[in-house]
Amino acid sequence: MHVSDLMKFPAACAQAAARAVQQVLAGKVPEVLLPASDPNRQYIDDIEITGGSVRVTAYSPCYTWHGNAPTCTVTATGDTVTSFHGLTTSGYRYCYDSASGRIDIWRDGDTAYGDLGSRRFVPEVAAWAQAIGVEPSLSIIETLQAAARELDESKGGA
Amino acid sequence: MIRIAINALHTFPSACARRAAIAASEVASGAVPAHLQDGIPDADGVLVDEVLVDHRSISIRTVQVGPAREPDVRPYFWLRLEYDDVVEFTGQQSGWSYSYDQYETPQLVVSMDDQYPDSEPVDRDFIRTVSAWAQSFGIEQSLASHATEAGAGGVR
Repeated sequence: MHVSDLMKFPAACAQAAARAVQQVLAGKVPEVLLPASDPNRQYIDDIEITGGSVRVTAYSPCYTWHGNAPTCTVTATGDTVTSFHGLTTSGYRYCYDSASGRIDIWRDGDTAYGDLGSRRFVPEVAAWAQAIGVEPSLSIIETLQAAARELDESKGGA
Repeated sequence: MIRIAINALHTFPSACARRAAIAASEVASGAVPAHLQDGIPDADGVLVDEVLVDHRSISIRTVQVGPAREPDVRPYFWLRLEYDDVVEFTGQQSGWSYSYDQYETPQLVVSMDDQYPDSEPVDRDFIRTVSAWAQSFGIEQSLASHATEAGAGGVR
């Protein structure tokens, strides 16, 4: 997966971190390193550059209902994303690594697997994964299947 | 508490320290140090091999590489800046280890490098040069450093 692919991931912190990685690859240290006063704006918390590898962590200056700040950490070697993981504003955690080639999603603080209950974020991630050839986890597949069943039932009931 | 500006390291008797100071200025001005991008050392063999930036501090690590240098004897320098001030640094050079930590003990501590191989020559001038550097910036040296400096003429 290329860093530019992550720019299309449906989480603002992931996009902000990917943008920062691109800046580093272009030879610029991202300017935003302080929590922004704008609650809708993500900020870069820290950057680590070691040899050919770049790791960037972005945060959003707001909190999920669990009290955690939405975030994303991206690690890239050159233009290739080796891993990224984070938490969305809506309380979903996500994780990808190039070794497995799979993206996983779960609800923050929840150990249950299966339908995640998301009818927007998870389907968006599934579409993103399909577009770039990333394998979705079982929980993503089961969420899509549950959403499809609901759609069928609503059509049947109409 | 003594304020050590990054410019002070431009005269520190170590190529790694000088490169780290340049790299820190580059990062502070928004540029990624060049040798992190192409992964090769510059002409004097000093490589910037790590940069960490957060909202409060910048850390830089440099290392001197070369075909004849084994990893164990490669001089290095690690530096941490907070809001443009040098608050911590550590390094190894020519058989010596040195460190400074503004919050821990604001003294320059220099000692013999235990890991330095007996086959490599120890630079006896280094401790005197670093001592003069510290004095010129008003940086206190530890008692151990003074004792080491006094005994430097007879080492190895």
